[in-house]
Parts: sequence; C-alpha cells; structure tokens
Amino acid sequence: MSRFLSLALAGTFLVACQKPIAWNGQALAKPIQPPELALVDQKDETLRWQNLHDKVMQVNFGYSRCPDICPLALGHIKNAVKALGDKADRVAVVWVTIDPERDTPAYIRKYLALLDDRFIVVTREVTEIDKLAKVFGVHYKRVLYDGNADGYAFQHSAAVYVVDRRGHVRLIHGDTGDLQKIVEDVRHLL
Amino acid sequence: MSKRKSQFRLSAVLMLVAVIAIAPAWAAPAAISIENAWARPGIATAAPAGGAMQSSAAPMKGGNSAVYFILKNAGTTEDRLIAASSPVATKSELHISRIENGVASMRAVPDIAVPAGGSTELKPGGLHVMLVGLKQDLKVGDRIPLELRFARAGVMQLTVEVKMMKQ
Repeated sequence: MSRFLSLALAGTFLVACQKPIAWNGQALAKPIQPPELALVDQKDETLRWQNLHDKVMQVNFGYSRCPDICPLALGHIKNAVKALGDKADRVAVVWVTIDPERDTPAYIRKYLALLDDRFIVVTREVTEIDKLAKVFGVHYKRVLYDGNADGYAFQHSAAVYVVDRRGHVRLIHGDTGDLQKIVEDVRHLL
Repeated sequence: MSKRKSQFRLSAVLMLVAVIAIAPAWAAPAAISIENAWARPGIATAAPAGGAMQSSAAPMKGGNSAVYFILKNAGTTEDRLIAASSPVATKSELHISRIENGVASMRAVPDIAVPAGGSTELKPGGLHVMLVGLKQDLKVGDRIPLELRFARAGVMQLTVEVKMMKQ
C-alpha cells in the first residue's frame, strides 16, 4: 500500500513538473474525437478516419472554386508540411470540400494536380461532410450573388485544425498565415 | 460689332471647347502602370472520366482563378480600376476577400481606387480580379491576356503569367 502511495506521489510529482506546452493555436479544452463516418476521398474510395491515425493531421475546409482565400490557406498548409523536413511524411493534410456538388472526385483530382497530389480530399457525400463540419464546429453558408456565372459561393470557416495521432481534434489555428506557429504546434504532436 | 469679328470669336470659343474636350485623353494614359501581374492556376472542367467515376449529375462548369498586380498612379489625380476582362474566363470581376471572426467571404466591388502619386496592391487574401468560369485550364507558365479599364486612363492591355503563389 505504502509502495503504491509513493509511486502515486512520484507520478503526481512528475506530472506536476512537466512543463505545459505553450500552444500557438487555440487548444480545445476537451479534444474532439470524430465519429466514424462514411467519408469518400478524391479517388472515390472510402476514407476511414481511423486509418489516418498515427499521423498528425492538418484539416481545412474549403472549395475549389474559391479563387483566393482557399488556395492561399492550402499554400500555407503545404509550406507548413514542407517546413517539417524529414518528418513531413508523418503529417497528413485533409481538405474537406464544402462544395461536393461541383467538387466531384474527378474534378478534385485535376485540381490537386495543380496544388499537391498528396493532399487527401473529403468529397462526394454531402451528409457526411455536414456531419464532419459539425464535429469540427465549422460553419459554412452558400451565398448567391449577382454576376457570378457560377451562381454561388460560400462563406466558410477558414481555420486550420490540428488533429493528433490518435485522431483527436486538438488545436484551431484561425490565422493560417503564420506558418511557424502551425509548424511548432505540429512538432509537439509528432 | 462686325460680322467678321463675331465669326472670329465663335471659332476661338469652339477651339477652346475642343482643347478642353480632348485634354483628359492625352493627359491620362501615362499615369497608370501595372506591375508584377500573376494569375493562379485553375481548371476549366474535370477531365472526361469514364465509368462510375463521373456522376451524370456532375455540373461541368468551369472553375475560377484570381489575378493579382500592383497598380501605380504617377499622376496628380486619383484613378479607379472599373472593369476587367479576359478571353479565358466567362466573366472577370473585381473582388475583395476577407476573413472576419474566422469566416472567409468574398464580394464584388464596383471599383478599385489608385490614389494620385500612390499605388494599390491586389494580393492574395484581399483585392483581386476574379476570373469566373474558366474556358481553358490555366497551367503554371501559361500567359493569358487581360484587359483593364480605368475611369481616367482608359483601357490597358497586359499579359499575365500563371504562377504558383510567391512564398
């Protein structure tokens, strides 16, 4: 009993001494575990969230017809991965399209060839994408506007979400522009 | 007053009117210059895919792109970019993107002012020319024509290179 107590005390002491990580992003008080959803990727194949475990994920929501903000965010994410050097293969980039109607798997494959073929894109299943967005707390709204030949655009959350190796959503980076901050946080989770 | 004298007066007035009328036309063009123009890559339509890959309901409208540049105004009067057009897109619009409270949105603007003796930069995450409904793929290295119309400087044509974002 006393042995157990001293072990427990030592454990508490060690935990207490561990310096808390000063995250750059907004750390979630309670990490979120997304439920298993019937997601589909750009290869038109089933994508299981669990299969992405063991990788730290950077997750972002957008749509390919977004000409400015989305490619800007994806460019930042791509650079954040590159900045990890030889650890880059331990990170996955998951981009969730909020416009699966137009962002068909075939369209996304062609779009990715311009950006980065290694990105994983969640597409096709609107209801599953909606569920995923809800889990992440992502809001998006379709907006019609005059003059757009394509008919509609979206208002959407622009944040980058960092997911740990167990698949828990841990951090939110509202400002994707500060590359170093995202890289530092990802390094802590590798 | 003799008839001859009044005729002279009339022609003098007409000449003055003519000079005033053409003045903006010859004063303006040199004032605006366009620098560092580039466009983002984009795709017109998905590659024709066979079999189950392509849903029959898939819309095949073209994708979009954005063009950025710096406008410089060497003149003593403010000018405004009021329209843009390019044969590679169904429509070209002047736009601004913004992120407010973490939400990204985009809206069309009627014009983009370039202050006298100053400059205005169209750059990622802000002002840009949105190419709506691409008619052709824009690949890195491609060069596309763009026409810009200014309130004072009139129409200016340029060639824009397709690039990945400068990092």
